[in-house]
Amino acid sequence: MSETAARPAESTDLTDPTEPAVRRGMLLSKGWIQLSALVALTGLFGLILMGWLTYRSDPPIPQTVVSAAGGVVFTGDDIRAGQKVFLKNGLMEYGSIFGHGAYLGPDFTADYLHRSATEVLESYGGPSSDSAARRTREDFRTNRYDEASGTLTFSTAQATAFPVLVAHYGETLNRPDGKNGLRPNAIPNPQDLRQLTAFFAWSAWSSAAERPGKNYSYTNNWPGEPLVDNKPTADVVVWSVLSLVALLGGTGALFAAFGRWNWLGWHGRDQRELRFREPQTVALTPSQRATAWFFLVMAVLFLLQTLVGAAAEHYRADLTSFFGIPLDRWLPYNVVRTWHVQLSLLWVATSFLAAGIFLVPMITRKKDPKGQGVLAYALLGALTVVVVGSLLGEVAGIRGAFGGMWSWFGMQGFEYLDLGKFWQILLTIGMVFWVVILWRGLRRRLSQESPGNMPWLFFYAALALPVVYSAGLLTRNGDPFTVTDFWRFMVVHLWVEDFLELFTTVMVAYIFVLLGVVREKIALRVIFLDVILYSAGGVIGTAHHWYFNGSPASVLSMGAFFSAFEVIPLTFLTIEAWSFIRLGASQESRSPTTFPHRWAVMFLVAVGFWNFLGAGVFGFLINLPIVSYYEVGTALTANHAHAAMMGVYGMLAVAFSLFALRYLIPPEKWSDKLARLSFWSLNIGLAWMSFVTLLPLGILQLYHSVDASYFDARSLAFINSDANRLLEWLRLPGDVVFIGGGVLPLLWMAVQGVRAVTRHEEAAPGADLQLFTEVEDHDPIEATAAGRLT
Amino acid sequence: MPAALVLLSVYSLALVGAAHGLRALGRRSTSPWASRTLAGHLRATQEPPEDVSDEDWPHSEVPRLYAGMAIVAATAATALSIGGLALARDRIEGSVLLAVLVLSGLTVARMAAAFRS
Repeated sequence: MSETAARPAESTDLTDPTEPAVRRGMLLSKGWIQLSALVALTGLFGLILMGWLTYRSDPPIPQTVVSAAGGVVFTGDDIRAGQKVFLKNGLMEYGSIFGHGAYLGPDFTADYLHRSATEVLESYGGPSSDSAARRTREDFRTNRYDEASGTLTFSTAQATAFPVLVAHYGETLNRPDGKNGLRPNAIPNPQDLRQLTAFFAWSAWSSAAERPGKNYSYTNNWPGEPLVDNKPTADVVVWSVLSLVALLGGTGALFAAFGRWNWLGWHGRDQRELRFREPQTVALTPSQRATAWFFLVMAVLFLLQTLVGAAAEHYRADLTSFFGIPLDRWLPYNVVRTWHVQLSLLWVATSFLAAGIFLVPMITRKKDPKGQGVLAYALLGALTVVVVGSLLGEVAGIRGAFGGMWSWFGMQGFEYLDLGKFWQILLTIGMVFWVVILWRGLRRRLSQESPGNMPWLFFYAALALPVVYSAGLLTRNGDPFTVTDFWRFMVVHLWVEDFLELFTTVMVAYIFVLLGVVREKIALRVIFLDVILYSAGGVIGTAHHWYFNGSPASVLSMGAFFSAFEVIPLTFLTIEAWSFIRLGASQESRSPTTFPHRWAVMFLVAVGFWNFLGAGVFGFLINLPIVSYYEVGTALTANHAHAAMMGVYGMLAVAFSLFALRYLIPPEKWSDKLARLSFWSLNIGLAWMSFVTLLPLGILQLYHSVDASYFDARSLAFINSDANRLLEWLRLPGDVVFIGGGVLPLLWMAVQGVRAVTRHEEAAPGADLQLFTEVEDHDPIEATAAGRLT
Repeated sequence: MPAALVLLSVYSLALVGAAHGLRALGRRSTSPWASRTLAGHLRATQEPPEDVSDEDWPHSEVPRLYAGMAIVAATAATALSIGGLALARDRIEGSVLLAVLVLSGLTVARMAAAFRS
């Protein structure tokens, strides 16, 4: 299907400087919008349904837990307070609960379950006694919660085990010499320890006690624990099979359609010849120049993130000290890991915010509205306040600062939503502020466009970011864990894996359109296809994080089935991107000027590669419920997280920065060598991290989890095993390459950008800010008819 | 032989295999119209884009990209087999890992020499 531009007033060419007198109609048929809306609404309905099911079916918190022999063991208030102790002390960034959290410390649900079951078994006669084994299983699997009175009755043996475990956690979490990853004497208050143990005990109870009317527990029999007869349920196995069917069937269907119809339409000859403008001939607006500082902040945060990541990794290789330095006294594992996770989101977000601001004048081809540059700097200032405040708050909060306001200014303690609520609110407001900045720059252009065209899609994608992120504000440390997890994953999954993915697609598509290498109609089709395919799987597929956290089996089934569909767009778009790159050289080779964004595009190629491998392959590797049952919270999860987060969003953030810096840095200071060094080092370092450490370690850990038990695979004894420590140490060369060769050159380029930023001249008043490509037509007759040639 | 050493051996061999596979991929023509995947589009499209030469960017980067990835994979195999050798407790384990080490080390040396030339 060829594109036509009948009259200048209805130009369909984004690079056409003629300002249309009327609003430009939608370039695609309305069917695309209708289908997108239908799929998105279906997904939203599914999400609401799962939320209702979760609120309705989460494990109850009893008012009182009593012993069969008489006496109160602990109360519901103890459980809720214990959850707060867990979060306040950053224990979710040390170990995990219901499989969610960090991976150095134990999973406390599995840990309490195993230890208490062992105590109970011993009290009944030990492992050699069949009746002892039977009684142990009965004690844990029988659900003695009375909803009417709110009383849960523990067997005498279970109740006797409780103070034993209070003492155990007091010893292990409160060591005076540290050497376990936490700071010395981390939780000295006996009341805190008792309440914390109550929280663990409740989580362990819910993982073994059978749901009323069912033969499996509140957590679908997770974790596997032979002592209490916890093994995979029928739902776990069947929905794993159906998930595979969904993946294979969906992939087949998509490629049957893809092979049959040339939907995207870009495989034809392009009639235009492009001339790439030299970057130094493109005038930049004040807001664009302000982004140089954003990219410097981005690079600094990236460097800091890698350094604390190295520190966190070192704990896994050597718990006793950091090359002789007792690092745990000042920066224990839970602090460095918190910073590592938070900084990954913050530096990527900084790049995305800057890239959005940078792109607006190129979309509108107009000067900034008044004060846009000042607003950009104000946003940067606000971002700096949030970053510094939240990071310092986290370390202070873990040390007990802020008293009762710990979750506001210190640390909320939820993995990925560690930052204090105050900082979380400020960050959300900051994102809204960013949308306002974009709106100011875009609004005139938006008034001239159909709501289904690219400028509007860019704006919607940007607007969705603060809207979806704000759902994370509904996590409250006093709510039941299963409920808080529902809202937490609105950020971790829906925001990160869906809406950031959408923003990514729109940004990349727009950059290619503005460069002239992809037509707007084709880019629009890709974006709508992205919305449809990702919404089909990714919205309801959020539930693949909730298999074993206390959500009901119906949520597990929906999560397993729909999350398989997430892999399909990754596969499809990878093949399309690969084809695009192979065909793309024809444009570059005809241009008399060198394509100025080679390395930005190379980073986008890396995004495509890691999207398929890190998100698709490594993600699906752990997606099936039967696999997740044994590996949740292990190195296989970390393998997917690193390959996907850094491989996709990290590489993309770098691509955006190189795209902008190419204009900000004068040509005599621009270094293709540094860009090449950074590209190779980041990719080699990430590949090394995955293939030398995380993947083999994850496979070993998975084997151990199935062969021995999940408890064993998550124990410090396993982490400290020779094989594990060897694999952790082997990561060192790759990390050195990543930081030294990958991050430092980028930092230097960002410094160059800031130094050069004052040297750009202001655009002359009234000057039209030209795009950096000019279009010349091969066919002058068509160009004349189109009004592009007179 | 402990599970960890079995995994290290097999995994390292798989990495060596992947290295050879990547190198072979990098030697293939990157012309879009040489690809079977795009053959259908070539037939269906009325005016397909012109073919490109291996010197046109980004095709010019492909052999180097694949060769680089292959060297990284082989180097990873070498590092893992050295580590496994350090964990080996008897002659059989040591022999197996030594064999893997020699194979991966030779692969690295050969590929690095080809890369430099």
